[in-house]
Amino acid sequence: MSDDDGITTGERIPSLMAEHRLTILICLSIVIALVFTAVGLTLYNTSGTAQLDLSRPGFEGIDKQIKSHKADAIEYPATGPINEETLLQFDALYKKQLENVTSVNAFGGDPMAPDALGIDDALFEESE
Amino acid sequence: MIIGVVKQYIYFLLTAGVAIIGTVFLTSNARSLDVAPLNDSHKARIVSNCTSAKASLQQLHRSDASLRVNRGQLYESISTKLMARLNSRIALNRLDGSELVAATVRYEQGLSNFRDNYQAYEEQLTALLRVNCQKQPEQFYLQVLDVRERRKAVAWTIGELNRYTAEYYQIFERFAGGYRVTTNAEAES
Repeated sequence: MSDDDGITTGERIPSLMAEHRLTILICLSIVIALVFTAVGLTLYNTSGTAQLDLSRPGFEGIDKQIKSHKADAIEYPATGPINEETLLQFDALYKKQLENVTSVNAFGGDPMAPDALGIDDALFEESE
Repeated sequence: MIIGVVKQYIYFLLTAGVAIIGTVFLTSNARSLDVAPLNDSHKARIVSNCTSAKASLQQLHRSDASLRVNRGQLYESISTKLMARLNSRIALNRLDGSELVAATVRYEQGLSNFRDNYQAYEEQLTALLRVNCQKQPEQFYLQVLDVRERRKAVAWTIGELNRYTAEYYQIFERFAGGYRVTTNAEAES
């Protein structure tokens, strides 16, 4: 198949691509960037990373409430003998963390109860 | 003509890309709720108090985020810096730590449940904060009930994790007791 000037389509495509290669490069770059951004954002949202990201809008200043665990970072050596001394060492370290875990009633209470938020059915409550 | 085809192809790719991104965001935030009829006085109460309710929810959102990070770090450190290391040490000394390993597996599962439940809760809470409670009091109220249940699920997994943490300690005490009995018997003989 050829056009009026005798140039076939097979010859025209490479010449046009060469002529507009900068445009094609930019367009392809944009498409690739969009695809990678979409993949990255999807992973960010689905993996649970978003929930740990305290730099999100609305969470300003929250990072100050994050306790630094460097000071009380405790590590039990993974190698070495098992004897009375090392068992006592582990006992002390673990007991400390166990106290940390049980000392706070995390996510306890019911702050989302409708009456706590003032959106309960007051008339219904009164009639009960 | 060829340029037109290339342009059409690029437009198609761009449209498809935007559509995919849009679909991902819309489906992740889509919520299907069966709106039960609320009486008028209840709706009016929601509308009148929704600004303060939203402020409380936003505050809760912020405090729960820091709590999630703090508790997550604490639970992670127990797993990686204590449990895994003791299990490894026991195995290297050719002692039987199978009960401790099994307890660690249960703990890890509990930790995974905590992460998943918190993520579901946080996503729902974020969606709730986007609801216009002045215009959609019913939807706002029902979503509050839904998010409340999800927060309870998070609290439940925290309780489970605490139980597994204590369980591991009990097994460790048994292991240490058994070890002492064995070493004393060997010393006496």
